[in-house]
Amino acid sequence: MMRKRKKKVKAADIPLAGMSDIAFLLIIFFMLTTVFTAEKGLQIVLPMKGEQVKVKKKNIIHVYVNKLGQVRINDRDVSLLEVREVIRKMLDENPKAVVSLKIDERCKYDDVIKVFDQLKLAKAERIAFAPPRRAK
Amino acid sequence: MKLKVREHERPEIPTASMGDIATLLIIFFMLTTVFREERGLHVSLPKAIATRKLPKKNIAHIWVNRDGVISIDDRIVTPDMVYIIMQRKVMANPNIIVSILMDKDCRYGVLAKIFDALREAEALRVSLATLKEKGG
Repeated sequence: MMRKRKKKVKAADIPLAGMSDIAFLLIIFFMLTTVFTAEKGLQIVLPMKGEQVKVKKKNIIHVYVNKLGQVRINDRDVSLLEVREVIRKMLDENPKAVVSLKIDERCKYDDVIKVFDQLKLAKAERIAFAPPRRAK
Repeated sequence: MKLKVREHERPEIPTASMGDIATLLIIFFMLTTVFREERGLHVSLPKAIATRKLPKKNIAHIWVNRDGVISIDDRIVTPDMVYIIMQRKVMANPNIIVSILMDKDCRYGVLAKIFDALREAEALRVSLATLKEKGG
């Protein structure tokens, strides 16, 4: 009987040298693609319920926004782009002025934000949302 | 006299455990990453130039989609329930900032109702979530 010759089996090897490169590439990839969602927005502080701050009539700037997003400041129609300048001028004349925003209920939120943004850009610190005019 | 030139051994940084370090880092970040738990509603936020970043802590979200549906903590709520929920949140954390994520096509009337509810619940620090618009 012939004796079987034992074949030498080579141990299978996985090349591990490039492992760390792969791992680091993964880390770098995820570091670069991660987006931290920062919360952003326009801040306001609401008045307390029942808190009545008496403001002299001459210190109030009335800003009206109708349902189409058209703006009126103290009985003068202005375009959205003029709001910032007009308000800034008024605040320069009277730094104690308070902006009262009266907005139609049916007005689009986008238009509200646009006007509010302009007020913020005009550095109006004291802005009050007046109760909306009810739809008739 | 001729000096004997010493054979310098070349310095080497051991890189064998590099892979372990990288893998550990990956595992560490995988375990410590917290994904946002709240899914909210589908909204397209308005854009504003005066957008500011909010602090990361003490934030409660109110989602309002374009049909005026309100969602808090992934539960659809009626406008009347906003007051009760927010009051509970304010009791738990008086420094809370309410971030209102409202669709730009929504009507202002919904926001006015939420403002009323927030004033009632004494959650006075509010942020209207917007996207940053370039310019200014």
